[in-house]
Amino acid sequence: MKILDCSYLSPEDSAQHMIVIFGVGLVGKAIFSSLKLPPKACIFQLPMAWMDGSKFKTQLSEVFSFLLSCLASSSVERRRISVVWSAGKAGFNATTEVCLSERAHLTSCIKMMASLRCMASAEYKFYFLSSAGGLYEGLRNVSNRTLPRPLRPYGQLKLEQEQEISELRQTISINIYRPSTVYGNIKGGRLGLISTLINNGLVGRTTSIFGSAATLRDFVSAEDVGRAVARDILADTVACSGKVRFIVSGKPTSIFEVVKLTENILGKKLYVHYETRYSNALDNTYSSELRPAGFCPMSLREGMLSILQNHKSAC
Amino acid sequence: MSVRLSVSTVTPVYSGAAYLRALVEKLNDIRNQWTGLDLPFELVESIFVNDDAIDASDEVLAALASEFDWVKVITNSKNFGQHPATIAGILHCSGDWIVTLDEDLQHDPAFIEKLLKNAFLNRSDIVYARPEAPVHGAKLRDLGSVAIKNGLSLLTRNKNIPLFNSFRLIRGTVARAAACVCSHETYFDIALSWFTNRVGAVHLPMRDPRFIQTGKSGYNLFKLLAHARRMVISSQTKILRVVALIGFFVIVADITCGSLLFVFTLWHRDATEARGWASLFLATLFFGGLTLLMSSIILEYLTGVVLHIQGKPTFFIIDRSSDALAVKFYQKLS
Repeated sequence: MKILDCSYLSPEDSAQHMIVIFGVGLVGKAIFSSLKLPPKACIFQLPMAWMDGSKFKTQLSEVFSFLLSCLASSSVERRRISVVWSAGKAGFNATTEVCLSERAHLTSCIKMMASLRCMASAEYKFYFLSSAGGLYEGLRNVSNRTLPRPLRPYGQLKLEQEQEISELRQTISINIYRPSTVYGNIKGGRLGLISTLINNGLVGRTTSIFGSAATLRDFVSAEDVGRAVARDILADTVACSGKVRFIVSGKPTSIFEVVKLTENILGKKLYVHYETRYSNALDNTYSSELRPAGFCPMSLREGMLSILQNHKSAC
Repeated sequence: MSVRLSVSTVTPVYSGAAYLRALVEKLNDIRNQWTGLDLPFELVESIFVNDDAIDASDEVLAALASEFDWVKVITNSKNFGQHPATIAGILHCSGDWIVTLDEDLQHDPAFIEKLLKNAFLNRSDIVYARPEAPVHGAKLRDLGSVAIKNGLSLLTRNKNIPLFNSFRLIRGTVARAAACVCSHETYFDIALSWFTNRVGAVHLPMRDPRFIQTGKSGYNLFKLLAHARRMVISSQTKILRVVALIGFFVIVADITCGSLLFVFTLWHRDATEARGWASLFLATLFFGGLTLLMSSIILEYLTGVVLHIQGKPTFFIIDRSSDALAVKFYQKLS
C-alpha cells in the first residue's frame, strides 16, 4: 500500500490531492510508475497484512486516520482523495475462503472511506481494478452485450466486489476497470506466462504451461493498464460515474503465438511442457469495440521486448 | 442448438470500394440465414484488413463497421500484400473456423456453408474452393496459373499446391498457428500444410467479376511469378534430392568407366591415338558429379535452416472434439 501526495501535480495551486494505492503488485506498481511522481511524493508505504483480518483492519484505520489528519491540517479550498484498489492475494485459482477474506478487506476499506467522508469534506474517488478474465472466463469475442459469467470463486469475488462498489456511486465517484490478461515486469509474486517464458527462456529452463497451445487470450501490458488508470486519476475533468471500462487489446492471441514470439525475440528454442492435469485452457477474448477511446495498447512484441530490456538492465 | 461453433471471415482490402457493401450484405444474409435454420455454427465476426487501400475502401469500411457490429476493420500501416493482410486478419480473429474471402465478390459467401459441410463430413482442417470453370474468363491466364501450380507440386512433392485458392476454410487453431509462424517470405498455404494433411476441396462456381468487366485484376504475370517464387522458398524442394542422386550416379559411373578404361589401356596400350582426352572427360565428370552432390547436400542443410527460421513446427497438437455436434448434424441430414 502506498500513500502519495500529488498536490503539486494539480493544475490548481490551491488543490490538495492524496492518492492511496492498495496493492502494489504488477498493476498497482504500474499505476504508481505511470503517475510519474518523484520519490519524495510517496509519503507513506506499508506492507498490508492481507492474510490477517484483524491486523489488516488496524492498518486500514491507521491509513485513514493519517488521511484525516492530512485533510484537517490542510488549509486549501479543494481537496481530493483517490483510492485505488488493485489489491489482493487472491489469484485466479484462489479458494472460496481466500476470496471471502479479500471481499471483507474491500468492505472494510469502503466503510472507512465512508466514515472519512463524513468527517472531512473532499472529493472522494474510488478506482477499482476488477478482472475481465475472471468475469468472462471461457467466453470469446466478449462485447458490450455479453453478461459476466464467472466460473470460479475468483471471478465471483470480482463480480460481487464490483456490485458492492457500484452501490456507492451516489456518494463517491466510482471507476471500475476490467483489464484482460495483464503481463509485465514484476519481481517476486505471480509472474504470469509471458515473464515466465522470457525468464526461463533466457536460462534454458523448461516452462510448464497450464493449458493448450491453442488457448486464446487477450494480452494487455501492465504499463498500458497503469497509464490508462493514472491518466484518469490525474485528470481533473474525468467524470467518475460508476462506469465500467474494459482495458483490453481486442486482439486474440494463442499461447502458441506467444511461445513463437518469445522464441523469435530471444532467438532460441524454448523448452515448453503443456500441463494437462491442472488445465487453465479456456479461451478468453474481447471484441475491439470494448477498447476505450484513445487507448492504444502496445503490441505484444513491444511489450515482450520491454520486459526483456528490463530483465537485461536488472542483471 | 446449444453450443454453436463460431465462424470468422477475413477479407484483405486493397481496391474493393465498389464491392464491399454488397459483400457485407451477403455476409449479413448468410448470418441471419444460419441463425434462422438453427445450424450448428454462427458467423460471429467479419474482419476486413485495410491493406493501405488505393480507393475509398476505408470510408466504406468505416460506414459498414458502424452499421454492423460484427464487422471489424483493422488497418495495415502500408501495403504489405494479400497474404500478409490475410495473416494479420487471421491473427485478429477468434473463430473456431476461419474463412478467407476476396474483396471483389469472386467468392460468394453463400458457399461458406458448403465448405463447412465438407470439412465436417470429411474431418478436414482445411477446405479449398476449386473453381468449376475458368475464373477469369481468360483461358491462357487460367491455364498459366494451373501449369505453375502443377509444376510446383511436382517440384516440391506437395500434392496440395494445385488446390491452393484464396477462398478457403481453415480450422481456427491451424490458421492462427500457421499465421503466427509466417515470415514475410513464407507462403501462407505452404505454412498451413506444415500443420495438417487433412485438406479437402469443393468445386464451386467462381467468377472474377472485376476482371471480366474491366479486364483489371489484383494479379498480373509478375505477381503470379512472385507467388511461385515464394512457394518454392517456403517449400522443401525435394527435387534437390534427385539432383544429389544424379551427382552420386555420375561419380559411380565415372569411377566404373575409369576403371574399365584403365584395365582396357593395360591390355591395349596403343589402341588410343588421342591421349589425354579420356582422362580429361573422366576428371570433368568426376568433379561435376561431386559438385552436384556437395551442392545438393549444402542446399539440403540450407533448406532445413530456412524452414526452421520460417517456423516449420516439430509438432502441433490439435483438438477436433468440438466438431462432434456439427458432424452429427450433417450425418443426420445425409
